[in-house]
Amino acid sequence: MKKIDFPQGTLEMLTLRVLFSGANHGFGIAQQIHVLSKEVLTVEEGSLYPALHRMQERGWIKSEWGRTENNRRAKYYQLTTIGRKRLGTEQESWETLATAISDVLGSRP
Amino acid sequence: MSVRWINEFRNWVTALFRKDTLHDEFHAEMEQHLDFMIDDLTRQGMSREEARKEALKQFGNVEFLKEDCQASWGIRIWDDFVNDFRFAIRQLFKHKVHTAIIVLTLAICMGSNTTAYNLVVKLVSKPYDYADADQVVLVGKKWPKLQGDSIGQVSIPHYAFLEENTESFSSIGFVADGNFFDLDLNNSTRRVATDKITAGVWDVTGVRPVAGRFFSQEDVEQSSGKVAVLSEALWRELGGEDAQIVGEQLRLDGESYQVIGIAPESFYLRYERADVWVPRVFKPWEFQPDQRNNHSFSVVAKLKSGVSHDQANQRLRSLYESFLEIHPGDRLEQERTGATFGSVDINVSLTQGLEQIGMAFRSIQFVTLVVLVIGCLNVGGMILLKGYARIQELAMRKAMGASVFRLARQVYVEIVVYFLLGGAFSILVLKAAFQGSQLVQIDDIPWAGEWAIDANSLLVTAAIALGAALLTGVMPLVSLLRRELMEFIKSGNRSMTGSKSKHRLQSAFVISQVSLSVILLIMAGVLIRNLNAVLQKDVGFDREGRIAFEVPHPKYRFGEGEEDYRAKVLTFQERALLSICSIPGVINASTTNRIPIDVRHMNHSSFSMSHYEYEEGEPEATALRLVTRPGYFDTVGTRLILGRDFQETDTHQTERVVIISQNTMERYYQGMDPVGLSISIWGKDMKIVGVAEQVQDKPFFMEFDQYTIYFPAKQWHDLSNGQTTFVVHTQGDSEQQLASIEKAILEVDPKVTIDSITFDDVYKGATFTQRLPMIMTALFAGLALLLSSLGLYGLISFTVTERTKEFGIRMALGAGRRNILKRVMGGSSWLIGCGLTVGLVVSFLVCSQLNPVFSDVNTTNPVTFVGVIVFVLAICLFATVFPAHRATRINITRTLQY
Repeated sequence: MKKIDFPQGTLEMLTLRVLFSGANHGFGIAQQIHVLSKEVLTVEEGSLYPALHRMQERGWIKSEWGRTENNRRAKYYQLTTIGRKRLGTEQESWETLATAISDVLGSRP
Repeated sequence: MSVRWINEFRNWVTALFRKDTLHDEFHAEMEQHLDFMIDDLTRQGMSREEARKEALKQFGNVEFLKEDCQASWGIRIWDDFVNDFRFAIRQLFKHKVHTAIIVLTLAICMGSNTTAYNLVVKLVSKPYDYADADQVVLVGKKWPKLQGDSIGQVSIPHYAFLEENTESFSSIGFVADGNFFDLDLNNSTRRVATDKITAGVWDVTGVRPVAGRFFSQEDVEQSSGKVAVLSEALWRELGGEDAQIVGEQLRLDGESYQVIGIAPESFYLRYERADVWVPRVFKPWEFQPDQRNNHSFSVVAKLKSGVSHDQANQRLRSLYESFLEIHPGDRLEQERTGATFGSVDINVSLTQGLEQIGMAFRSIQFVTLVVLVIGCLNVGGMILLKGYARIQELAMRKAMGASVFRLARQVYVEIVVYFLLGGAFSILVLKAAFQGSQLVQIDDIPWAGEWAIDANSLLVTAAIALGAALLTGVMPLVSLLRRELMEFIKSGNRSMTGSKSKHRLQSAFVISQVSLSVILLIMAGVLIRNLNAVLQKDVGFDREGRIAFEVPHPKYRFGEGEEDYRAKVLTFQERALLSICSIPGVINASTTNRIPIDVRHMNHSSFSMSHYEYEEGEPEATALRLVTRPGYFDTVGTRLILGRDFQETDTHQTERVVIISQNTMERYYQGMDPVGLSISIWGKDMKIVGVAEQVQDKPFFMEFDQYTIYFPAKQWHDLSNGQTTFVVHTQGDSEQQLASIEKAILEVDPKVTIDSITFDDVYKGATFTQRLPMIMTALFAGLALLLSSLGLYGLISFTVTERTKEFGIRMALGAGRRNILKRVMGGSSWLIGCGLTVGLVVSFLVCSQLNPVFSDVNTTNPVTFVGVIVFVLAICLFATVFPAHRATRINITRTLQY
């Protein structure tokens, strides 16, 4: 599978977006991104966990231990109010940037 | 942003206590992730075993991941801190000489500051350590028109009046100090200093007994005043706890007293440290109005809570008005002198009127502060140098993203470690200084007898040191982190000959160090010259071979009144003198009632003269009273300018005669011959038979403003201060002579006590306030000079080393040795010149302020200044020549090779 690098900061935005739909554990978040991106994006543990811990330190997300459907212990992350606001601004600026970039790329000389 | 900071802070704190939990949680989370992966892979058809292998492969190294995550846990900050600390310690051991210099510098600076602080607190600011010393006041009479604000003593009628009207005070006590008792120790007699006090003193001072209890008013009444409290020192001398002294009877001046308690070592009331406290019992006649001019007693009181010193003073002033209504006869005195009651903080009272002592210790404190500043400058400079040596590392780290905070912390951790070590070693310096202060006879100041290192002072020094450490770090940091790094990166790896900001900083270091040393040296010079001037002064008597023996004649053995005096005291004196004079090596012997220049026994009387009318409002002249036997002037080496000495024929049956001092003649007998004229004291006319050369009667630290009148011992029974002081002029070994003279006196009367001292020792005590600051300042100035020359040497030689490459190029291009030498010396001499100028200007300003304090010398005398300039220049030359010389000896090819 072709590996695509995440642009700086996007992993955090995607994680916030995944958690917006509900609390999830690390593996679940990685899976969700993989599935939602139609298997284009693969999140590596090496970047995911530092990002999660960083976001927790900043107060965007919080964590607590819980049980999965098959009764396995797991650390669940969920969005805080700050995180929700953050997602809003990140998404907005991303969309602006993405539109701008595609406008530039789409224009004919 | 602020939320983030709060979060981070919380994380740090949690991390500190939950480090292990966080690690465990991390591993649990990773385990869980692995399990999910394995589940996922098994679902895709792998066997559990294969799935596990594959998952582990995909996952990679857990430890690396942990490292990355830890950054967000707050653990890093503690780990980093420990690392910085370790790094600092490693640095210390790596550069041992460098470390030793810094630590020594700091130890000396902090140690001397703590010592000075201790001295000033103990001797000047807070000599009393009573329970609520700030509420305890010395109450007394003051004469604003004569003596300003200083509080004088009171009479018994005054005290009785104050005691009846104590609205401002919660307790009040009466002190009659400076008494001596003979303590009977069965086969010998010991002279004990005794304070006679009222029970109120114990309440005022709030002191707690070491053993037993203190006397109350009831105790005094029940025992008719025959109870005693001993000092801890005397108690121990008599056997302490084992001897079961409390409850026993002691014989003081032939009377029995019951010992009821022991006062702690630290307790003292006035100038002398007493051995015994007994109740002062008042006799009815002592309350008579005619006793109100006998101002011989002190009163201490404790302010009621909520009453301020001002309020108390106001109340005391109005009390004196009421007192005048009862005794209208004192109104005249009040008009003339402004007399009134007043009070002063007990801690201020002791040095009030002894300003020179206060000044002396404050000057020591000032000097040590200057030393501290020089020391910090040095340390700052050295750390800066080290910083430059590490600049490449710092620049790289900053470029790679290390935060300024992180770098600052590293620099500070290092500085703090230095200061901690310096502080630890400063305790040794402090101990040495304390021992040193014993050597310079600090205990000559009576209230300094016992003192320990004050815990507070350590805290104060720690605070000063911390402040100094923070300040020390600022300069190197600002310099290193702001401009230098950028310059460094811009300039690549080239040596920074052209770095302006660094040059500026180094210049500032050199200039301030030179100027501070100059100031300190000039101060030391002034003090030394002042001491010299004092010591050169003709004191009017000789010290060589002179010994004084103070022998009290207590009433219980020598009686009182004229008859007893003639039969017992005079006979004892004559027999003792005969016995002393028969000792080989004794040249001359006589008696007096006080030792010249000594601080004790200063009784004055006012006098008037037949030919001189005091003008309206002119205070009557007062004279110090000396009672001497014939031969006194020859014995102590004082010249008689006019007339004759007393003779054996001047007795109670012949005309009363006196000898006056030179200054009395100069003031009141200008152009006249006073011999033969009469002078009137206590309403009695006396004939002047001689004029004695001026003698320095009082110690130098006391204001000298009075005249001296000598009375013949045979004519006056009540002027002897209750003791005879034998003065003896001896040849040969003083110690030996002292012992044999004591023996001779004891042979005449085995029950007397003798307090002997050589004139040299008396003189040392009297010049104490000049000697101590002089020694200390000279010591610290030398120290400061050493520190700053070390600093100068370090800075200049560093600059030279740094410019080695530049010099190499210059020399390769044909510059001669002279040229290079000129370059190095030229640069530093400009800085040294600046430092000298600044230092000279500041010291001139300071010194011109000091003139009134050191009245014996001209403090702005050019000799001191020129001397210091030459001295500092020599030191600077020394600090520059070696580096400069080294600069010219460099090997060009080697320098340019690398």
